[in-house]
Amino acid sequence: MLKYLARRLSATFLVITLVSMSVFGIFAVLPMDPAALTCGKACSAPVIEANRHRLGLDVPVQVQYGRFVKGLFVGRDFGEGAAAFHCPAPAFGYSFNRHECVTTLIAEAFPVTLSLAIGAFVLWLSVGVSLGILAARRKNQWQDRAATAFVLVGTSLPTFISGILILLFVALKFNLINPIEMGRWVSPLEDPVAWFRTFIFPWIVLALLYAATYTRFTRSNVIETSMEDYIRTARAKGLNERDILRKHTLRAALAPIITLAGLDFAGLLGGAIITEGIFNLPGLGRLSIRAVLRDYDLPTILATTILAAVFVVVANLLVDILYAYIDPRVRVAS
Amino acid sequence: MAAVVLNDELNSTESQEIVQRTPKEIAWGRFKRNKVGIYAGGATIFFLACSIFAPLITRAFGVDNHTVYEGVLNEFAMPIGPLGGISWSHPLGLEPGVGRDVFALLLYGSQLSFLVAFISTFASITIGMLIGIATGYFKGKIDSTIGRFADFLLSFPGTFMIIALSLPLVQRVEAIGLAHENAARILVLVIFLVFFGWTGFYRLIRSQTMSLRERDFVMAAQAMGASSWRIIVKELLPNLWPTAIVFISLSLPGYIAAEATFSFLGVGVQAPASTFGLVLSDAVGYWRDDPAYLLIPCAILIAIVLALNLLGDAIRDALDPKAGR
Repeated sequence: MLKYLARRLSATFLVITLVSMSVFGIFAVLPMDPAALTCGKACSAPVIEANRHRLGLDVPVQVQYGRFVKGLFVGRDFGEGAAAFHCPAPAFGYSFNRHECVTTLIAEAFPVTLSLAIGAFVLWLSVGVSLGILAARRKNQWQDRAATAFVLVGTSLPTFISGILILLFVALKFNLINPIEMGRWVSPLEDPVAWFRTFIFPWIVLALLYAATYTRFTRSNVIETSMEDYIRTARAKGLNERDILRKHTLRAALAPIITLAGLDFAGLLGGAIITEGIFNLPGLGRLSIRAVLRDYDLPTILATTILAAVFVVVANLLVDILYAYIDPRVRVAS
Repeated sequence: MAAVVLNDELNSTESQEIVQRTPKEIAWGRFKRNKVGIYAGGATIFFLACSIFAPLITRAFGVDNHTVYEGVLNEFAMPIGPLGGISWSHPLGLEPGVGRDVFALLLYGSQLSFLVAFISTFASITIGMLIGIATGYFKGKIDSTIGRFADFLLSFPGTFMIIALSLPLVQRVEAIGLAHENAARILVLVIFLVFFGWTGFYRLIRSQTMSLRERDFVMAAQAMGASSWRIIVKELLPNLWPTAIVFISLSLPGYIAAEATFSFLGVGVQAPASTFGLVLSDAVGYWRDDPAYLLIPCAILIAIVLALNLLGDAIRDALDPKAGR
């Protein structure tokens, strides 16, 4: 197990390095010039060059990457002289457009995305898994058909459509969200009711999509597992159906869902671009999309992209370790 | 007595001619029994036909997608009449603010949606099939390298990368002179969708190829001295087609929804062209005064995606009855 852990950890570290390098590389070869975008219409060549130097874009891309990594560990100074600005470690860069360390921007946005992801996760996991179990237990009865209909609707509704329909024709139409309060971050520690009111509709929108997938997945896994020989054995030795379901069927049927859930959750942590955009939530998704559409704020774009990838890679590692812990067969195979 | 019964049974089987059915006929027979699948197939053909014959249909209704109609909007630039100005001459109402015909906009828009979805699906299938068969059959170093690369791709935030990179890439495509304006935008979108989309199909085909190559009929072919090329084309491919068809039918709705999502977000085609996503992002601004302009395109887009999904499910049930049931 320790050997397995060590191997997986070093592999994860390697992947994170490769991902961050490729993100740097991809954005460096683009014909987009962030320096030219820093000073509006009244730009002259010397100003652009000065800004390029301030942004740290006048050196080769490998040097830029080196500075970026160094900044992550020891912090970094941006600009020179009176205009100099220090970002403490971990420094993801400095947004000249927002005059703020990117780390600060991310720290502000992250609680929003975390709230969104956790609530949606709880909602879709509970709805999806219980609906899937119900459909499998009542196979070919009306409960199963209702679950199938739910799956169809959930998978056929693009998020942006369910988002705008729920926002406009439910939340705003019936005054369930105050449009002025929209887009303001409320901490659950300060005002849990307002926090819940802000997030309940985004949760529903996100959960609708994911719950459908989980219902389908749980249903087919439970049906498949209940045909296994050891379930028949359990039944033959006189165990009641409740215990068979709880102790034998679900344990095996739900293990693969951990993988799926872990990766989906990590994907959301990188920012739910569409949902955050529609509900105007100031999370990582909105931060990155604004960085692209408003002023092509390269340091922010790089940081959020790398961060989103790191979440997925780390989740992959955690999920695999957890899975090996739950399912001994995986450990043997590794 | 028993002998008589046996004899009778023998006679009855002899009198009934045994009809041999090919796998294709068996699948078709299963599909025909699935009513939902038949309706979904009909709806899909209807939507596709509407899209393909958009120029003819719009001419028959006397509308087109670029004319700005006069006298159909009131002084607030809102369509005159109920439900966003629905009338015999404008069956789905009018675009608020501008005054174009929504029916024509959506018909021509669906052409773009289907185009993007079809090209992306077939490109992903082709790439996934080639790489999946090659790596699954020959295994070795290339297999593990490509497998790692596919895993690596999964960790990138695809949606965001498409949004962040499309503008600069469209500029580059235009600078090279490969395509211009909307053609360039469609090209870049398709390239991205395929780049992040082929891995799912590649995995599926690879695992199927790996299990097929261990089967007896492949070993028999190898024993007879068949070349790898012959085994792939004659033994493996015919067995992989059902998987490919199921994947195509289940990818199309996904790509239609993806195209709508990206054009809603401002990536992809721009006005004066129209797609579902563009119309919807415009309609959000008028939702209180002209809800029909938002709800009608929504309903049609959902109907298209739903019909394709149901058709895909029916095709999967017909070709692979064990899956998903």
